[in-house]
Amino acid sequence: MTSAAPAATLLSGNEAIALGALHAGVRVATGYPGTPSTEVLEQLARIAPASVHVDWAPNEKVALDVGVGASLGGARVLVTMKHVGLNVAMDSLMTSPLMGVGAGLVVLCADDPGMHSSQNEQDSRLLARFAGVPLFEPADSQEAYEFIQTALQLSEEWDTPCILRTTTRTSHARSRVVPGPAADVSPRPFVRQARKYVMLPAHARVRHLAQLERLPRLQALVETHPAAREEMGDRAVGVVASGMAYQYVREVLPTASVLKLGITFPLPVERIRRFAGAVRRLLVVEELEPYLEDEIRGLGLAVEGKRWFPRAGELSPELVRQGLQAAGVLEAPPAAAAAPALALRPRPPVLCAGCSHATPFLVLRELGAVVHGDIGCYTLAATEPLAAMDTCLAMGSSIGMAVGMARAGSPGRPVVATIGDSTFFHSGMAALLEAVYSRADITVVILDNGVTAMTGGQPTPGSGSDLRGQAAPRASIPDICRALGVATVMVVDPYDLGATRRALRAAVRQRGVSVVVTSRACVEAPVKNRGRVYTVAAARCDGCQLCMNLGCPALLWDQARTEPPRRVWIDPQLCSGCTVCAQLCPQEAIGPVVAPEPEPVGAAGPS
Amino acid sequence: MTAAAAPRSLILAGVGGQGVLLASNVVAQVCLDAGLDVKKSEVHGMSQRGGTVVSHIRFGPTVHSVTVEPHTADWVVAFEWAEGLRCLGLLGPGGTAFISRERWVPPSALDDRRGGHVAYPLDQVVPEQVVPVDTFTIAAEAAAAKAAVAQTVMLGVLSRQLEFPADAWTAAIERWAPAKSVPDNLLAFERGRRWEAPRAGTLPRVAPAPAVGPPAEPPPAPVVTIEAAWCKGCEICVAVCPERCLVMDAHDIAVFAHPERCTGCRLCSWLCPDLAIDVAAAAAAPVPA
Repeated sequence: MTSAAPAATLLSGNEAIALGALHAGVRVATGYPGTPSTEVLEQLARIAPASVHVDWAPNEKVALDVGVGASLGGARVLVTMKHVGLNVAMDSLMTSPLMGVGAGLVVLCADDPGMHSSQNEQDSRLLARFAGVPLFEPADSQEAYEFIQTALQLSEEWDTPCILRTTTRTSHARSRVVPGPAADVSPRPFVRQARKYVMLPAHARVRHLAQLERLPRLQALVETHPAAREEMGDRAVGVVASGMAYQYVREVLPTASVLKLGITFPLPVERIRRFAGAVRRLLVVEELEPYLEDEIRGLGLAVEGKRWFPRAGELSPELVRQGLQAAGVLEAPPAAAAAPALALRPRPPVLCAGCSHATPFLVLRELGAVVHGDIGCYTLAATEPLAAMDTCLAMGSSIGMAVGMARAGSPGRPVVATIGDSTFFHSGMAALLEAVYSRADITVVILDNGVTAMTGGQPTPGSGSDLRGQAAPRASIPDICRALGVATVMVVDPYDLGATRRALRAAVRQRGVSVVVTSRACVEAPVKNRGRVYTVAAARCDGCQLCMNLGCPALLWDQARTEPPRRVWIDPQLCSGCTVCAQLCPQEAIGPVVAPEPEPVGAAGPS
Repeated sequence: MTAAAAPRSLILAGVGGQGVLLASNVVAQVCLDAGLDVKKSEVHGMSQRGGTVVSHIRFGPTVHSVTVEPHTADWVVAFEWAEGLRCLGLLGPGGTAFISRERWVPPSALDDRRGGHVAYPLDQVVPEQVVPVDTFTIAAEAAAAKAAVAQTVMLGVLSRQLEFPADAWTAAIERWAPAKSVPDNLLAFERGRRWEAPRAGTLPRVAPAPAVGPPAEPPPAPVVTIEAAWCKGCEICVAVCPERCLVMDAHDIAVFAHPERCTGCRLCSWLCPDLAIDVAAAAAAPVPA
């Protein structure tokens, strides 16, 4: 190594994509937050100069439309989203390859095999093939850095949007990146060509033929593109793999021959044929759907894949090893003596101490409402002890589902939709319009904490600031609801338990659509909100545990009394001072810690 | 492939908010600065909300997989007792687990409200490979005894196991820790690095448990009697019962539907405006109606 060699840095896949986009001259970047894609735009906002537009859009379709417009306007564009977000953008995505691009346009779509933080684990590779859009799959951060640049370059050369598809592991794992120099990309002017950019049927018919005619040429280019490589070793078995699955194969089967693919639509068909001819047995190792396997089988080649490897969930070295053992490629190990298992309760995620979402759900459970939930932190209210959510489908679905259930009839139980502020902006507004228009008897609870909290506190159109912290127009949720035709809009502070009860009780008794906005800043983002720490007067607590129904992680049992009924103790390290438990306590046993403290609050935790 | 070229694997585990990601960035930076290939992986997202956080770190001349296979990790370093025990299945036969004695009892472990049993590992015998570390005691002598940095003690303990120089660790901490907490973090690191693990064989094999309490025999169920004729169906008792034992029947009369959950707190009895509910502390035998 020489001293002139560029320094290696340790980057997550998402950070590498941001750096690659910057080095490839991206001038417009937009998207909607969603694990595991969120950090790309956040990192780009940190490292890009102010001349690069980086901001969140209200949803993925708007983001892609902004991206297509910017591309036609001559700027290189990155649009980011998670896999389920691609569904939202799908309408525009399907037609965008007919239109082509002005400057390079890449959609980062981050899949979540294993559903670490998602409601499904769809395989977006199938959607890329469906849309006829070239697809890049990096296997580590270095490739993520390089592929975003290649994809932007080829998007321009091939006149089509491209998709860069990562998974949770490639997006979040950190590995070495040796960055190269930044490209000097000059802006392109917008060229008026209505036959290419106005998708009238007469134009689209011509453009569809152009897209179909382009695909074989794309495929010919992919055949020789260095994103694919043959790593020839033992020829008894050859494995075709891409993305993180490639790493697992190399880990578990270091001596086998591997065809590592970087562009997986279109596929380098002739290379696959040559590789298949060079090995005695052909396997495909891939996460989720048998996409490569089906394509290769369609070439008339004998190939094995999902017969040995699971179709559901995330792959791992051990699952790849087990699959190869089942396939007879690896010898099964002698049965190991099972270690005595320690009985351990799982530690599920919980709403934070002081979360403003707890009281609305506490009250909704008291009211016996049928509660349609939505996507956000508050989906955790489906679990004990709040256990106040009956359904949750997809972003923005709660309101439409509530309308449907009210139509089907829900005798004796009020029908309620609960939706966060960011989700409301994303896809709840049109559904609320439908509720008003169809005169449904539902109550919509909009949980407004001012940020997209689930993904780490990104600003929304209601935050009053943008991704870079600059002041932005602040959308008023009550004004939007009234403008959509909702007659009854109430705004309450969810830290005021009595007011929240009164508002929700009044709302569910009304005919027609009523909206209750619970308005209180997220306790963790954008800043940590901490008030006076509360404590339990042990002599007054009778152990009724009513407060424990909040599910607040700061409420634990007092160590001083080990027999039931257990008294409650508040962890001063965790208490945010929201006061809700004090409002709940029938014995008035909970109050603020009285200053001055004789000693600093102990750091000994629950022990 | 020689054994020397095989990557080594480290698991860092804890609870969301304990700084597992920061610590794993420090370790990975130290490996990178030593000229090694390094990969680390964890899952962000819902685990931030007080859930389990596990970071896999692998380093060596060449690293492929970002995750560690079961029974292969060289070290498990955990910032929380239960999370350390949870990761023992990843530890290889020759590996060592350094587990902080700090305990974060999750709310879900307190769901046995009648019996008062805490479903959290407390007193069980742990395998020989586990070295318990009293993080807070080690940090306590210094200003570093703040929750935010006490876990850096564990990085100091780990640093003794790896051949990287101390100043590489210091530089990595300075690079990754928030600027204002760097001095405290460095102090905690030093304390951990100087800490001498008790000699093998002298380790207490049972972690001393705080008085969280034994799994008590659930007390006999309280007897709740509802005078149906006095109930006017106001539902106050149904709304207020912390264990949700009461429901309204078809005639709008309160019914004691879930006696198995009742803790005998008497809230329903005290709040019933019609004095229709009586809660008797566990009678030896229920009185026939």
